[in-house]
Amino acid sequence: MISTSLKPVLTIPEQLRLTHGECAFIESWRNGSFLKGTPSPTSLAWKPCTLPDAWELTHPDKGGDAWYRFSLPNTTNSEDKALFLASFMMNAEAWVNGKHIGSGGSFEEPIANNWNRPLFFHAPTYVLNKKGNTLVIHVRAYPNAGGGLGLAYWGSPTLLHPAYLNQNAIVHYLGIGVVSLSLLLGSIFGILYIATRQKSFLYFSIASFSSCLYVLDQFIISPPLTHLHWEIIVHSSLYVSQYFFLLFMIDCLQLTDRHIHWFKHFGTAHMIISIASILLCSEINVLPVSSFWHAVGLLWLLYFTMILYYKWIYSGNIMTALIACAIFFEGIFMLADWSAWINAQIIPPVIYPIGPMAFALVATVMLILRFIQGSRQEEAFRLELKESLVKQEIALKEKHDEVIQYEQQQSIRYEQERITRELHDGIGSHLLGAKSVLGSDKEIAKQLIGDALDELRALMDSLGNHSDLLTILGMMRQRMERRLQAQNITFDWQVWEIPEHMHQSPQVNHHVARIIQESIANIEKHAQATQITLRINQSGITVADNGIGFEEKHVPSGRGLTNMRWRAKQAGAKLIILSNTDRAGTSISLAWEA
Amino acid sequence: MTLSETKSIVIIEDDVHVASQLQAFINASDMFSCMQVLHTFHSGKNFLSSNSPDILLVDINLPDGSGIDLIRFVTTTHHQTESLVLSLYGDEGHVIEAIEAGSAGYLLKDGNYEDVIYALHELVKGGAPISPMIARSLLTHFASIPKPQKEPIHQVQLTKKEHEILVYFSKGFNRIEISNYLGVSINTVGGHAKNIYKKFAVHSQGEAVFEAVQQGLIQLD
Repeated sequence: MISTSLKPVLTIPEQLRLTHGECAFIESWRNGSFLKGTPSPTSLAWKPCTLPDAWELTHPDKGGDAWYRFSLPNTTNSEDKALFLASFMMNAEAWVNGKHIGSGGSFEEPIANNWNRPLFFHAPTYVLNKKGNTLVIHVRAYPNAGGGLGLAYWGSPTLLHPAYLNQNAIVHYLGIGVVSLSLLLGSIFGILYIATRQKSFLYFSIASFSSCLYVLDQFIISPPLTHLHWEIIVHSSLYVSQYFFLLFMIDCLQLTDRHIHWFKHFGTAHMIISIASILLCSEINVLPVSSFWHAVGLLWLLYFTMILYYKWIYSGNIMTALIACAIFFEGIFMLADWSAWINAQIIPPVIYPIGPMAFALVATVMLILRFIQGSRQEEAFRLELKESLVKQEIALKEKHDEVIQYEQQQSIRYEQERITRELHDGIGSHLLGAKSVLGSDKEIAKQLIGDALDELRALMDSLGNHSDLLTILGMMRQRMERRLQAQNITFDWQVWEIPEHMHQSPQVNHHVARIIQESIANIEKHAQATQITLRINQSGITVADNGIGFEEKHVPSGRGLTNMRWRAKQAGAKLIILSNTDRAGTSISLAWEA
Repeated sequence: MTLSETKSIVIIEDDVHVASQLQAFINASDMFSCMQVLHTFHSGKNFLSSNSPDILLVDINLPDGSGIDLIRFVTTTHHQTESLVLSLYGDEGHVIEAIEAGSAGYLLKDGNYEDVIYALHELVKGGAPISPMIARSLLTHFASIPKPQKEPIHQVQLTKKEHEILVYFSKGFNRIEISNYLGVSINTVGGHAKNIYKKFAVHSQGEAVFEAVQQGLIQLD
C-alpha cells in the first residue's frame, strides 16, 4: 500500500502541477470565529502568487478565506479533467469557469483542520471550454493552522484518480486502522490493569487512548467541539500520550537510575507546562506554541533514546533495544508530523500513521515477552515454594518430635524431682534423725529407721504402675494399722469408690494420699481420738476423728495445714477443715468440682 | 495340718541378721519351731530334697540362685509345704512372681515379731496374706487373660465371691470387715484368698500348668 501510494504522487508529471496563479485573501476570521456568510473577493484583492502558498509565511497570524485563480492550459482534446489536491490543512471547494466542481471538508464551524485529506474534483467536459478555462479554488482555514495551498494537480483523471485513491486509502484506512488499534490496545491493557494492578499496563492504556485522539484529528471532517477546544484537547493529548509512554517504558524496563528519576520529573513538568501554555495562549498561537513544545519533546525523547542505547551496550538487554526502536519510530512520527505542520507542500507523510502503530506493536511484543517471563518466573517460584513447603513440613515434624521428646523428658524430670523431694523431706529427715540419735537411744533410732523403711515402701507403692488411689490407701492402712491399734485407735474404713470429678494420676493420687497421711499423723499426735473414719465415695474424701478438735488460729504452723492446702490445690480439689473445740471431732474433706 | 503340734519352719535367707531375727521370733513362739536356717540356694535345695517342713520362708535374691525357683521346686515336690517369700518392701512385682511360682504370700523382712507370728498363724489356719496392691494386681490379671481355648477348667476362673473378695481387699478392707459385709467367717475369707492364689498360679502359667493339672501334678482344692 505504501509503495503504490508513493509512486503515483511522485510519478505524476510535473507539468500537471499548478504553480502560478492569482490569490485573494480575506481575513474573515476575527476574534475567535469566522464571520457569518462567505465573502467574495473584489477585483482589487487579486494578487499574483506561486504555489505552494503557506499562509504562515505570507500572512502569519491571519485566518480566513482565500481564493486561488488559475488560467488552465488549453485542452487539446475533449476529455474530462480533474483537480487533485494532494494535501491540505484546510477545507476547499473549486469552480471551473464559474461552475462548482466540488468541495471537501466543512465550511461551517466547527471546522476541522482536515489536513492530509486529499481532495479530488472531477471536471467533466461540459464545464470545460475549448478556448480557455479558469479554475478557482476557495479555501478556508484558521490562522497559524498550516493554511494555504500546497500540491495541486490538474490533468487527466486516468492519471490523477489512482493517485487520489491511493492517497486517500492510506490516509483513511491507515488512519482508521491506527485509531482502532490504539483503542483496542488501550482497552486490553486497561482491563489487564484492572486485573493485575500493574502500573505499566495503566500507563500504556492511557497513552494508547490518548494517542488515538491525535490520529483521529487527521481525518475527521467535523470536530465534536469548537475549534479551539478541539485543538487544545488534541494537542494536550499528544503530550499526555508522550508522557505516559515514557512512564510505561521506564516501568517496563525497570529503570531506576538517579537521572531517570530526574527525567521523570522533567517529563511531568513538560507535560504540565505545555498543556498550561496551550490553555493560556490565544487561539491564534495554539499551533505555534504547540509546535515549540513538540520540539522540546523531540529533544528529550532523543536524550532518552541515548540513555537506552548506552544501557543496551552495557547490559545487552534485548528489551532495551526494542524500546529504543520503538522510540525511534515514535521520533520519526513526530518529526514527520512536525515538518508536515510547518511545511504544507511536502509529500504527504506516510510514515506518521506507521509510527504509533509500530510503537504500539513493539510495546505489545515487549509486554507479552514480559508476561511470559513473568509466568515462567511464577512457575519457578511455585516449584520453589512447593519444595520449601515440603522442607518446612519435614522440619516441622522434626521440631514436633523434638517437642514431644522434650515433654517426655520434662515429665520424667518432674517425676525424678518429685521423688528426690519426697525422699529428702520424708525419708531423709528420718534417717538424719536416726543418725543423730544413735548412740544416745537405740530404740528411738530403730523407730526412726523403721519409719524410714515405711516411707520407702510408700514411695515404692507410688512409683508402681498401679495408679489406683484406693489401693494406695489400702496399703497405707496395712502399714499403719498395727501402730494405731497400739494407740487404741481403730479405723472405720468406708472406702467405696473414687469421687465423681476426681481425675486420677500418679501425681494427684500421691498428693491426696499425703494429705490423708498427714491428717492421720495429726490425729495421732494431737486429737486424742479413738476412731478415725476414712470415707471415700462419689461426693469426696473425708478424714474424720472423734477427738478434741482444734482452732486453726491457735494452731502452730507445725501441723502442716498449709502444706495440705497446697497439695489439695495441686490435686485440683477444695480442702475443707471443720473443727472446733466445742464439738468433739475434726473432719478434713476434699471435694472436686466438675 | 493339725493345730496341736508345732509347725516346723525352714528359713532360707542370705542376710544373716534377718535370718537370725526370724529364727528368734519363731523359736519364741509356742506354735512354731525353726527346723533349719540356710543361706544359699543349693544348700536349701539339698535340704529340701530330703526334708519336708510345714512352712518354708525363702528370700527372692539368693547369691547362687533365685528363691522363686526354690518355691517352684517345693510346690511341685512337697504338697504339704507352704512357702512364703521374704521381701523387704512387699512390693507387688516380687510378690506376684512368687505367687505365680506357687507361694502363699509374702512376709516383710523388717517386720516385727507380732506381724511375723500373725502371718504364720494365718497361714496355718488356711489363709494367705494379701495386700491391697496384690489384690488389685490379681484383679487386673484375671480380667486381662483370655479364657483358654481348650476345655475350660472352671476352677481357673474366679468365682463371683472370689472376685468380690478381691475387690474388697483392693480397696483396703481387712478380713474382719470383709467377713462382716459378706456374712462369712474370717477363716473362709482367708481360705478364699489362698484359692485365689492357687488359681492365679495355674492361670498365669497357662498351658504348662494345665497339663500339670491334667497329670495330677498340681492339686487344686
